[in-house]
Amino acid sequence: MSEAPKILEKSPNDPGFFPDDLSHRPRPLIFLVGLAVGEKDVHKRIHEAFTVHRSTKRPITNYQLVTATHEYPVRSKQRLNYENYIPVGIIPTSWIQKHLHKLPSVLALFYDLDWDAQDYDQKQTEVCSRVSCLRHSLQGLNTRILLVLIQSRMFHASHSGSPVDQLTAKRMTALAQACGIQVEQMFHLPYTERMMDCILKIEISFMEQAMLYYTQRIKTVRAHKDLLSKPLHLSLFVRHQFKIGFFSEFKKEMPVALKHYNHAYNYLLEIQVDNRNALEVKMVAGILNYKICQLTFVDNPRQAISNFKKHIEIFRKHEGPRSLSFQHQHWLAAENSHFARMFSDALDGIQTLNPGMYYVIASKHAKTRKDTSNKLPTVNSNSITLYKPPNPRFYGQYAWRDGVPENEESDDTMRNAGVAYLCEQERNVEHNWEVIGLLCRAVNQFKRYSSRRLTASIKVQLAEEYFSAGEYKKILDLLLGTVSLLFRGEHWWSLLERVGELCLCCAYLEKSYPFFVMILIESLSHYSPTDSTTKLQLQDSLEKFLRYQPPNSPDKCPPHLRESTHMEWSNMCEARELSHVKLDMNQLAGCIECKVLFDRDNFQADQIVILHVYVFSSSSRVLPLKNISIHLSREYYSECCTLSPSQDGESFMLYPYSIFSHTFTFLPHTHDVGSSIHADSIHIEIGYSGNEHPVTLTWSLPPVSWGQPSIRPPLEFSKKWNRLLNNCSTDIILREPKIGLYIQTPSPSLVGDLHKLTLILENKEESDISNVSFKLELLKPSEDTPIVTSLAQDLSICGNRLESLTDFTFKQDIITAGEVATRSVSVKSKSASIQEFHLLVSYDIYCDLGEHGSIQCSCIKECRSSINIVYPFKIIPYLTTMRYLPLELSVRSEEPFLLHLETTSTCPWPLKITDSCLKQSPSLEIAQLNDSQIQGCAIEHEESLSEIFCMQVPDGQPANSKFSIGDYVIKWKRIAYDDNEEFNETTMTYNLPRVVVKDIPFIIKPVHPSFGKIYEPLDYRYVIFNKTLFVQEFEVGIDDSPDFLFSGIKAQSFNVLPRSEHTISYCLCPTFSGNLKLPRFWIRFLRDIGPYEGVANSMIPTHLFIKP
Amino acid sequence: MNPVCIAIISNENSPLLMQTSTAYKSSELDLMFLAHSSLDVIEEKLTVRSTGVDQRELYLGQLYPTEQYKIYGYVTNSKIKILVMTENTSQNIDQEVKTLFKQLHRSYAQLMYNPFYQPGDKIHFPSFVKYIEDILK
Repeated sequence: MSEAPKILEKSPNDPGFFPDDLSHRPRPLIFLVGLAVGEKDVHKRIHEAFTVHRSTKRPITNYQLVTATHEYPVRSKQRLNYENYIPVGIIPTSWIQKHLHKLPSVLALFYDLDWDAQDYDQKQTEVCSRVSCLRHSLQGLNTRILLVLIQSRMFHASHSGSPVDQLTAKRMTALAQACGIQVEQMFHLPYTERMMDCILKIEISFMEQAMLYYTQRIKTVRAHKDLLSKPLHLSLFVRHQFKIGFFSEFKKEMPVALKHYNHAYNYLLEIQVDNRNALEVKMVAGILNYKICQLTFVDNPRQAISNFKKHIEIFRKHEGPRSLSFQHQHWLAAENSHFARMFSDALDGIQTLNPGMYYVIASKHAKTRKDTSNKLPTVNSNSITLYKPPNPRFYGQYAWRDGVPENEESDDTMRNAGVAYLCEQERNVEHNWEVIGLLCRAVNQFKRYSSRRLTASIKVQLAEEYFSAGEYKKILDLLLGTVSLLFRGEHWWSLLERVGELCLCCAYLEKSYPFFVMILIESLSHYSPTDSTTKLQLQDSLEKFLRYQPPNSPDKCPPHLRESTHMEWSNMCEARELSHVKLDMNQLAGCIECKVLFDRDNFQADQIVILHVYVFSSSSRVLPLKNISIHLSREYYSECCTLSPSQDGESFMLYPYSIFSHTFTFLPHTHDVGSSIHADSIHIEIGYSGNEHPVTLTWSLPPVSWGQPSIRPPLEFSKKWNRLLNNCSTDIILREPKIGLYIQTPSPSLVGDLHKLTLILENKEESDISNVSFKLELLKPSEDTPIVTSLAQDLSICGNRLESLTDFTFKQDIITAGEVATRSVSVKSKSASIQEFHLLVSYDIYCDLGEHGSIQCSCIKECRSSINIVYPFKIIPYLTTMRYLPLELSVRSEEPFLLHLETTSTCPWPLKITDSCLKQSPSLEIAQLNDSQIQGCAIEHEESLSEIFCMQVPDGQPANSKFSIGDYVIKWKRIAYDDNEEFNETTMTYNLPRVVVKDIPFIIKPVHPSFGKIYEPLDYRYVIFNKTLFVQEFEVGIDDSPDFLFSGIKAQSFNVLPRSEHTISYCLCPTFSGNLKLPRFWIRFLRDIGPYEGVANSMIPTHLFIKP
Repeated sequence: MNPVCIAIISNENSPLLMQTSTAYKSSELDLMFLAHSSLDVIEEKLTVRSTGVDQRELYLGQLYPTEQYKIYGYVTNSKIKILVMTENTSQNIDQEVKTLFKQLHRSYAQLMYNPFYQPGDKIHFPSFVKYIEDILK
């Protein structure tokens, strides 16, 4: 941001004056004499060692290189008696500068002198003369003179050392005496590699001497205190305390300095403030307060801020002479500004306490000063030009008080001339730029503390000052960006109006017509709280602009510029220099709003797309609309969405607070089916037909940016307007098909059976359909997917053309209106599941759309059907011993067993078993394998059939091995009730379970008739077969039975050779009839071959049926 | 306490109602700028508060020091901001301001009962405006 164009040199009695030296801490002033920097390289390097590349650890000093003939300030005459003395001022203007830059605490004379130099005596004399010259030029000042001898090598002074050392010591003492200085004030600086170390040591000695100097100065000042009397010499009390404080700062004794500045401030408060000294007291107070705050900021920033507040509170009321009241405001502004600068140098603030606030306060005082100055009466300038004010000798002292003792009145003539002079000076000040400078600094500060709103409000103040300063273009740059966006975004319409008012005037004065129109459009809106009379004027301006006429001057326009600007506008309009104005309405709260609505969320390919546009104006009068166009995402539709004036060139009128609406229609393109159409932007051209100036308002859709205002338009139609919601997008979808589509299928389908699906299409369209394509697909196909095959309306030819498919397609050229087309498809599944089929039919049709002609549309219809695929039978296999005792899927080798297969129908239709067979495993021997036992049987729902197979595991199968019994193959087909129906034979293979082979060492085979007769003896034998390769020893026996008489050995033991048999024979004679319990046959193993008693018992029959 | 201006500001930072006492009508726009600026401080305080312990305290205290006015802030749970500006006096009026805020909050809540008032709209109801004007008298 730009600041004041020029800064005037300020006099020390100007209220805004600030001694710049105060902003830095005082540094002891040390003069270096005798260094010929330009001639001798050694001297140059010594000088650089003192002044440049200083580390932060070195003491802070102010070295100045001066010549031997330098002139020093003359020491003021020391007053020994203050009895009749009345002070004439508080702090002399020259004092601070004198001690900082002119009066050294230490003066170091550099001289090239080796102790053993050949012309030593001559050189000694020269040194002495130089020292005495310096002493003379200092004329009683307390400045310490030090002598630094630049030597080519290192000398050691000792009275008892080598001859050279003795000479050194002797000459050193002699030189000190001759120069009238002490040996401690004399230093050697050998120009060797150790020079830097020596310089650091010498520097410390310099500082010690400087400190002694300032201590001496403090003592001198203190000595006056006893001579002063309080009511009379209060100014001197202040001055002396200030001086002690300042010298203490040289000594780095900050707490002491602070104490004395505080004393000085308190003494100052005791001085009676009147019109004679108001400015002087305030300016001295300002200096003291600045020093106090500067020292306090280091440790206690809050204390510093509160000190400053207190300071302002105290001196705010000391306004001084009424005729110079602008000076008071100037002083207040300067105080705040200086404090703000100090604050920003010292530390970072926070949002609610930062330097920016003090700049704002300063700017307020500067504005008050400006207002006061503007009211100053004009005086005869001739009398002023003759007046030449003397240079002020004390800070803030009025020129007419120069040299006048404090208790005396000044000369009236002088005072009047002085006041008139000051007033004249004040009139010449560029106040606007003073304020602008302060506000710019405030803005820069606030930007750092996330205060965008406060920054915006300061920018508005800044713009007002720019306006006063005539910088109109800057205002547009400053306000039309973030500031207006912020006010608009948060609906602070009054603030936006204020900004608009300023910017409108600036745009008018700058002839910046795009901005001018933009602000007009916004100012006319119902959001703007501008009164209706002004709004009418604004609309008048807009209408004039649209007609190529110069607009009205805004009210705020400075009168002296009105005529010239009007002329310039006239010239511009006449020359037709105005180009097309385009406004982005998304960024404005304008007087025209619009909405776009597609009639529906989607349109079918054969439907006309309907798009409504609504425009609402809140202007004061009727606004002419020239053109409305909507840009759509497909460029070719945009042509259909343009509303242009009718042929006679009449504009449409937009009546205030009413809704203008128009409906656009167009036919969607075939290739847009399945995609969306968006309305991208609306363009409204306002203006009169004919020779008008075009202004285009553009809204991007959907509306984003600053957001739709939540504050609704006034009046009753707000509800109507709010109900209209933007609908900027629509989908073009396929035409709705008018066909019937079904899948007919009996349920369930049987695994392995060829199942028929009938696809039926009924053309319900009013015309023929063409390019009909059927696509049947299986949803969620898995490994066990059914095999799908096309049967092309003829089942009989399907047999050999089975293909494994998940979908297939077939086409038909034309289906006439009202025709029912049928297609058959057979499916076959390998497993039981629920399968879902999806049928998709697409076709083309010509649609007649009346005036829009006819178009070809594609239509798609789909339907779904699911079938339940089930097994036709449930087969339950189980194993038993030859005596029908159940076996748990474990069989004993070489012992026959039975396999039962029970087949139950689960199919709702009757089935016929055409064949069945057992494909046993090669590991099994089957007793007999006849033809199927169930061949030719018909079976109804839930009926069962059984087959039994006798088999045994041959010797040699390893024990505990598992093997499959084999597969049971059953061939079947559905029984047709109708001659037309014919079903295929289907083979179903059932995997029989796996069995475990158990190995036992023996087998007991009972040999007996299947029944006996009462009293008829029968032969009953038990054959024991030793399956092992060892001789086995058995003990067998038979118990008595009440039902049988028997003969044979009751108990015996015997050995059976490996792989051989032993037969035990009994003759039984039943004495009763019926199912009789046989005498219990028992067997014991004499060798411990395992727990086989249970197994043996299972081989021994317990009962026998005896016929009577 | 001498309230100069009372402002009710929506959760989206737009002004719903702003009333200035008769004596300060001339500086109404300045007060509006001040009210708008103080939203910066409220925003900052709410950010700090959202991480702080006591999120239930609705009274935000003095927001912003100016030479002429003191601005106090209060934020309801629905983020409606209430501002009270008083003349800058050295008196401690914290307690009084707090009570006033509670009254204003209660009255605003009652306004919400009004079925004709839609939240977010500017407040034009004469009874409510008069109530605020009475406070400013």
